[in-house]
Amino acid sequence: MKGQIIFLMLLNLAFGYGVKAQKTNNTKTTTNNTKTTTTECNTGLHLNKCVESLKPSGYKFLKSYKLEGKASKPLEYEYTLSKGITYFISMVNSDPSTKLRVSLYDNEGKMIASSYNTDIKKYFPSIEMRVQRTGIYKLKFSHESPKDFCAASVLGFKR
Amino acid sequence: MKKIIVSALAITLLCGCPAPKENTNSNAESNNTEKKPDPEKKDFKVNFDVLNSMPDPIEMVDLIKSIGVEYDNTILNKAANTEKYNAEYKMALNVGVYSVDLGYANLHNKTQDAINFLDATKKMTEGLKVSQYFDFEAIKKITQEKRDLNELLLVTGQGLEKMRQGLEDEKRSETVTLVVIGGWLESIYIASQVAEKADKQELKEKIADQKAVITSLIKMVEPNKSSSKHLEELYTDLKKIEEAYQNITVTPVDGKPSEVKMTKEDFSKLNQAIKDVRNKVVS
Repeated sequence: MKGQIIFLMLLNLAFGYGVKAQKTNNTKTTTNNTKTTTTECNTGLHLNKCVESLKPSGYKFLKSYKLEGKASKPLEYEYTLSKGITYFISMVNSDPSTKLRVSLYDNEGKMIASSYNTDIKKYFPSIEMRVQRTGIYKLKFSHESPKDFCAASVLGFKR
Repeated sequence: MKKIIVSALAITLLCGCPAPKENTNSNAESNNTEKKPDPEKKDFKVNFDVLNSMPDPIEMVDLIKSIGVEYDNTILNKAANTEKYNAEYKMALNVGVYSVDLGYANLHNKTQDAINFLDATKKMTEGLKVSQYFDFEAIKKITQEKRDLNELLLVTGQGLEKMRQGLEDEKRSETVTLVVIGGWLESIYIASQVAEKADKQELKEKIADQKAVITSLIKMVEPNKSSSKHLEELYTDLKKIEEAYQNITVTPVDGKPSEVKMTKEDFSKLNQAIKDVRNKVVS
């Protein structure tokens, strides 16, 4: 009799504790997810710096690009550029060691500008070019590191 | 004995069940965060990469400013017309329209007009539930204080970009497409109205260049034209503009102005088609 009562009470305690433990684990999981989120790439900060780079030369803002994600393949964007306009593409990279570059290709796939100078083997943070022909161009962002992208870029224009 | 067992079982059940309040909150939160299907959302198919490659109307407006033609607000959409726009598709088109009018007024330093268009844009974005992407008070302050024009264009441009991205994230593809179309239509309308008065080669070349853009916009609307009456009408209207471009060509010449083949009749026909479609959008 006493044994049965004790058994039932222990069963009661065990079941009740198990449920509370599950709730606690769920809470911990949520906390861990929150912590993970705060260490992600802050492209907003880089974007603000990019935008500042338009001002000294009087470029007007056109578009911005948040460069995030796996580095396994370049990030590509298309945009219509107009003849006779000078465009400026600026980048801010969280980790300069990744050697981020942007290259511009026309609609025939020919590269017409790049932020990497192959002659002097130097990476520049921006490119500036006057477009000779209106059309859809491709902006291709790539870097040499296997690290994920964490950068931003902005496209500006002026006459 | 039986009473003890029943009591113990009862206690077990009470301690084992999760706290009703906590569980209800979780479920409630879950229900609140679950997005219920919007009955107005249609399956509007669009390639966002293509949409995002469309030229920003600010370039056209900037060109118009640069050629020195006097500002004329009579050609712009009246801010008071916001009262007419109750349907979502009308609001979306006219967010595009008013944002271009805003840019045009800003570039010419017409502060009061700019504020009127800013208010109109705000009203339309509130109707579309996308006003959170703009800091209207900051934009208004910069406008009123006549601060650096580039700063003004930057804040406005970034707001428009955030709105477009937000719409894309919310999968409101029809709305974002209509915003783009409305903006393009207003920019080419203003350009053609100005070109009618001023015989400027650069402006005519720019207008002729838009032939490729109208073709792209039609391709975006075409797969969706049968999903609603307004999309079918918009498709038909855009086709009229495309048809007016039929005899107009631009042949690029490296280092020199492009060879634009556009007779007075071609331009007149195009101008009329653009005017008709644009006036329908803002009516």
